[in-house]
Amino acid sequence: MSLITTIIQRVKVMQDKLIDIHCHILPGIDDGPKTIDESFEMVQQAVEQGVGAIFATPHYIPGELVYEVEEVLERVRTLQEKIDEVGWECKIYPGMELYLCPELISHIDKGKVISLGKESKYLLVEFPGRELSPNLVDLLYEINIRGYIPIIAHPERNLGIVENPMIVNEILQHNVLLQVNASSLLGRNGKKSEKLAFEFVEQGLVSFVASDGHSPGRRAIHLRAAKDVLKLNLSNELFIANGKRVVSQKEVFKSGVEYRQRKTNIFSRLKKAVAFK
Amino acid sequence: MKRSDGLIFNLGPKSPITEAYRSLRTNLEFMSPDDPVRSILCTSSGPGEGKSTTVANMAISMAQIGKKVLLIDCDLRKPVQHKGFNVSNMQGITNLLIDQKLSMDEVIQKTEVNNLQIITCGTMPPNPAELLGSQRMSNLIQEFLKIYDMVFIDAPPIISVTDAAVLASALDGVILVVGSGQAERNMVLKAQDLLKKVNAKILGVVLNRVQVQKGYESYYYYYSKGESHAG
Repeated sequence: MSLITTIIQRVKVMQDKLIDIHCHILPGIDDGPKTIDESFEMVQQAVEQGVGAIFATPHYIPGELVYEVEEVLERVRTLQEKIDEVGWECKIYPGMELYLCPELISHIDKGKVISLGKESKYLLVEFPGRELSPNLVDLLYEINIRGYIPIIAHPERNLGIVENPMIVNEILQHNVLLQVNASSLLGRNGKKSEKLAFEFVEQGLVSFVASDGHSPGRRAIHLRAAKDVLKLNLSNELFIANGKRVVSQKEVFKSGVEYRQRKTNIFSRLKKAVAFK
Repeated sequence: MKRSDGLIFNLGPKSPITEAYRSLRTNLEFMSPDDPVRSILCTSSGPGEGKSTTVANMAISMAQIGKKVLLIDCDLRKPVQHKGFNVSNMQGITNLLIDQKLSMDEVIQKTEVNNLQIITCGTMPPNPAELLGSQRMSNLIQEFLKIYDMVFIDAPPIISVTDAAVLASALDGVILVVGSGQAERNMVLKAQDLLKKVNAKILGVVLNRVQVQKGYESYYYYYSKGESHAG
């Protein structure tokens, strides 16, 4: 009996649509698509890959790239109308990709930012590309005590983390979730990011894989291809189930708590030792 | 373990740890009747001996008997007090020291303990010793003492950096926390030396992390359980 229900559940999940929690799909607001036609083309590509929901997460950089909450909501509505007209089953939710800096905290306090889906407690947050200072990591604490859970966008692409992956543990000491890019799993962001993305996934540290799509061309949505490189059970969690939990404002789970560097074998260690001398 | 788990408002009034702080409080109160000690700095010889938890608990313990208490996190190199009390660290003592326009009220925060307020570290500065040794810092402490009955200061370990020593001379006294079986004798003596050099008054030494004998501990818990049932 229970076996049958699990099988039925499995099949159901397989039919479930993918959820993309990080995508620059709104036109003319950041470095994403320039026109509504480009946006529409991205949606089409997503729908063909079986994506059923996309969080529109334009860059938000306090002091540099800011816009009103209503502006995002309005653009989401416009895009949704266009999608509904052609009858595609794809829901667009509002959000923002927030650039982590001290000023961000006051923007949160003033209600200038949008959490994923607008009502959830999940904030999509990106670190500056290179830097990862303790002062920045402490800001995660500030976000936590304000009742939000940061979802860290593409840690595998941060140069500080790529050079010294152990510092990701400083981030993991806070109540955070990790999101890796589909493109990283496909090796499109370089070997180092690919290796790191897989390590994070294998160690249970990752809760979401998202597209971080920017255009229908060079930085397109590659969710389906990325889903196929992971085992089914795991990929269902990272591409579907956890996304659903964000949509329905439930708790998102992750199994790992700490990053452990893979032990290198004796030969490579010897090689290193010789190289030092 | 969360930082706040070691604080006595989370342990309850009958925990042996709370009791220990109660007697520490009494000792402080009886120390000098003519010239009551109102500003206290807490430090240790090395890191990780429990000074931040100790000073937070002393502050809580004082506030619990109705004294108006301010706790300032002056461990500007490794601040933790905001985490224990679950408050923001966006603005703290460093911001107050640097920004002349900032008022005290903007950095003082309430805690879940009545009568206890806190100033967190704030933005971590590149020059902690200079900030803490500034005239403005001693002026501020005088200002605080007009409002509060007692001011507790969490300072960094004294051996590694000069911050604690420069602050100590501006205060009524110093409490040295010693991690039992952890601090080295020479280091503790050196800490004492350093404090004497700046004319700081060492009020006493708190021996922390003492292994309690098993029988004694369970007796204590048994006793406290009995009490709470009776009460």
